[in-house]
Amino acid sequence: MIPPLQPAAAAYADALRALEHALNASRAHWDDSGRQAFDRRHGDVIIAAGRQACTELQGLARDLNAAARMLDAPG
Amino acid sequence: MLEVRTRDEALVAVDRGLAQWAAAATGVLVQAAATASGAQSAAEAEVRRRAAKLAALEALRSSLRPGAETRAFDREIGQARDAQRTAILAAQRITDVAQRLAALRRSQARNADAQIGAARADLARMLTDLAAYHGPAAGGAGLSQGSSSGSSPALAPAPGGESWLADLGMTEFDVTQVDFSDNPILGSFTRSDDLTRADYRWAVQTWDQVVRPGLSRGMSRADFAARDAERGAPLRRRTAEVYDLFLGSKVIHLVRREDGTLDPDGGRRRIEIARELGIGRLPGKMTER
Repeated sequence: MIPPLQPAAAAYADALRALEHALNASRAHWDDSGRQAFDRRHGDVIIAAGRQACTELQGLARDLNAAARMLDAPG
Repeated sequence: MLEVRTRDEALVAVDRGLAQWAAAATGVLVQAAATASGAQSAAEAEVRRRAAKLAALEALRSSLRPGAETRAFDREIGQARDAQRTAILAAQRITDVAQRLAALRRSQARNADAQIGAARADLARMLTDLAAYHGPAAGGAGLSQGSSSGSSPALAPAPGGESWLADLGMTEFDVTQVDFSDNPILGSFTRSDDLTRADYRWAVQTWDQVVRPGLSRGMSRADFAARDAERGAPLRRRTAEVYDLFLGSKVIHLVRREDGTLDPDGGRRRIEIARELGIGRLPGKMTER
């Protein structure tokens, strides 16, 4: 039985959504030029890297699932 | 949950979001790597099982009398060969997944952690600037308001003067009074967290020479994190990690035995290294038996 990677991929996506929510929610009280500079320098970069890693992890989960299905056939 | 009402609190909320993201991302990737490793083991076991089955069939086939009916055997051997090839291919693909996952983890550790560290250092600087702008009274209130209502270690109030240990409910203990002969360090010094003896030596020395004196001067974890970010300090060579190691989740707990010696719960390696380096005292939480 090959364990799936989907739960890890889902947890990663959830954590990234929580970060995006925290960043968006804080704009109601911090939305000046300093914030824009922070987002350009850090926030946007971290979110973009997180999304890229999330996509990659989801792809790895699909690949592992496909390989696991190959082993499901009786041998 | 921190209620965000002011700019200070928004800064703290962003910092907390970043800290939680860093911890969650790292944890998930560690868990994913363990899953991939388990998948590799399972696939390799399946390859071995199918190879053994094929070998058994071939041995049986070769033991048949000349002229015996072999078509059924040959068909089964062909199927077993196909099944083995499929398992080998699947195992290769799973190994590829594990390798790509390891690369993703390395990338996360190298790039994402550095990005998050730099972001949190900037946030800490902004909070300091805000406090300076507001003046001592208002600024102090802004910082403590944000940090005391949550668990953001980076923005925790700076332990001031000589009271920082007491504020944390801790004390310094004499490492020579600790006795863990009933629970010695066995085998390799490296633990499951992969910290090597060199890592421990660096951490204990840095605690004694950098972090502890800094705390006594009123520095906070955020100050250490900012310093690490400025220097581009790599993982396991960051002063903020040393802060966490001694004052965070891996605090050394000690119980004083009736004979006066101290029984440690965790921290045996740090204590041993301190003795090696001639460092007499480390921080910990003490319980009287």
